[in-house]
Amino acid sequence: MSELEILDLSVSFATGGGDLQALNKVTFKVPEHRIVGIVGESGCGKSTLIDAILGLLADNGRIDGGEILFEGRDLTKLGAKELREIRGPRISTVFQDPMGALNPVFRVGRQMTNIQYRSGLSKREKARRAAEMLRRVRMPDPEAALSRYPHEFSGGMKQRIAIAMAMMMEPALLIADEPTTALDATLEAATIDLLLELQNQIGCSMLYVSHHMGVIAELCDEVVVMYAGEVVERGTTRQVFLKPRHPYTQRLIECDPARLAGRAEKLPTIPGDIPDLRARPSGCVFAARCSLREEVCGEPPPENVREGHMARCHRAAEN
Amino acid sequence: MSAILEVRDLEVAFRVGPLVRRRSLLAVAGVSFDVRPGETFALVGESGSGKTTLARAVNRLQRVSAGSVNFEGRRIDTMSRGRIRPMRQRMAMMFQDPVGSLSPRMRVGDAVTEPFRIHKVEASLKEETERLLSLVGLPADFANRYPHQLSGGQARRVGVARAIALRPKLIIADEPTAGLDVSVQGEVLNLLNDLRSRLGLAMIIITHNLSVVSHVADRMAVMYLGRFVETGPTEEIFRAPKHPYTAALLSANPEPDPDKKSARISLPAEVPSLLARPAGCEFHTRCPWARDRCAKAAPRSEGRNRLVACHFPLAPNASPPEKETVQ
Repeated sequence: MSELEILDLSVSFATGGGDLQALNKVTFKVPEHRIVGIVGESGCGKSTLIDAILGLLADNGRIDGGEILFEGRDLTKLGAKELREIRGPRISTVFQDPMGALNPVFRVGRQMTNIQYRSGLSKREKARRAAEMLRRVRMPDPEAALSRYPHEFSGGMKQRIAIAMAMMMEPALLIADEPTTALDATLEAATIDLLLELQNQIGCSMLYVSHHMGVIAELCDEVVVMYAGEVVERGTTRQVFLKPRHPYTQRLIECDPARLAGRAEKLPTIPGDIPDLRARPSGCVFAARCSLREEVCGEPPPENVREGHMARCHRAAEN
Repeated sequence: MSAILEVRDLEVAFRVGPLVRRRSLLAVAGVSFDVRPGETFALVGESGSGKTTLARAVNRLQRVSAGSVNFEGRRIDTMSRGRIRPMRQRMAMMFQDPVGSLSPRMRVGDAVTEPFRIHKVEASLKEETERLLSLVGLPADFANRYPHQLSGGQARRVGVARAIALRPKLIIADEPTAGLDVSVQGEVLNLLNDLRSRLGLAMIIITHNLSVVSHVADRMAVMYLGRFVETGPTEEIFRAPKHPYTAALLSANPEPDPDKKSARISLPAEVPSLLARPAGCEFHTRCPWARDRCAKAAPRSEGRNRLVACHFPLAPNASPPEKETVQ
């Protein structure tokens, strides 16, 4: 069974220069207890996708079609009140900037008890649970931490508090949007370990968004590769990283300097820019930058699926 | 060949806290290194390790508390403000945040020729604009664009053009690829490598991204709490790190290969405060290999070409001892 299923989701934004189609028929599943990674570079639609799932699209954004199925309900059809009952207790989020998740003028303890307002517990019980959660994210001296303000913590510790808050209601789905990008390498490693441990204990599924291929390879069970608002490749982590079938995924993995042992004279790059999403190309979205481009690429590429490994490319059958 | 830049026992202190209880913290605590002509030297470390402060002190954007900085054989840390300015023509700085370091009201053409106006260097600004834009691989008509019309990678190229405008001998680049996508990051690093060999530049690159370092730097230094814990040729350090902190940093860099489950060395998350430096070896509070002696005596930097500040330098491929680190 899937915790979250996204079907043919299209989202556009009304801009001065015309409608910008940010997501085009995005389809993927997050199965129960699994971690699904979304990779892609700036402008690929990662953040729009998360906003759409959470019902937080900007005022000029609109869902043009498709479904977001969560626990049997289509989130695109729910009203603001029903969404509020899902956001937090059932779907929670951790964002890149932990300070954005914390209110700077309230003590951590007050914020952590406030978000339990639906639990019906006593004040004391809420405080006990808050301290317990901080202990689980390995905060030194959790009771004392409750009476401190967010600015008194380092970036890594603030992110731990944000993770503790996101996990406190034991959600069914955790959405993590670049949660380690602002952290240093050693803290990044520790935070990933922590997320894995909590995900295991709580038994939730996780949608992990990152542009860092190494982190995705290490953490996720399945991977969705996005480019210019489309899913270009989808499969298990081993399928996608070891036998990528879409040229964009292949180039992206090649570009990661962590992959190259020793010093490279010339680092690989992907020349060109993403297409203007106000005037999407009629064929393959990656064609303009693809070194394997052919005439047929002017036509929309079909989804080629083999052993659950999908690639949206005319030449996918060869790979 | 003699060094273009010589830094000796450099210290930078900041005074913090309320007036009555003013305390001093050492952001850079006694650092020495040389940069030779045409060489790229990388400063690596995590937030708060003092990388940026050190770079700013070298360029005299930050007052030096102790030690000396010699550039092209002249001592610059004690120079007067008026005398330091011409030196900055020969030592350029590239700041973090490619878009934020450009004035939003200045067109690209004006931004890349601003150094000529600041230093009152006679030149045909139109020709220089064309020369610089073509050197960094931007079309000439970009001269009329404003920063908000540029992508991150393009803005970074403008930053590079500004830095090389007056034909400097040394460029200090603070996080040149931070915030850029991997496909663009390669372009910027290729450009820096290319300019270095074409223009014979020496470079100091500051970064927390180790995979960047391995591709551009000849030598590197790893900073922790304002000190160098390990310095040496990049290739050697990557092959066999000797300081436990270097080993932890290198192991924390995941590769895009799901079958290589990394043998990560995990460190306790809390970095000590610069106001309360640990006694003995300053890394012992987080070091998986720490022994009794580490808490008592501070290690000295040993070695000539390769310096390691550790009582018990690691053997190649050492894995941490099997004990639960105290969190």
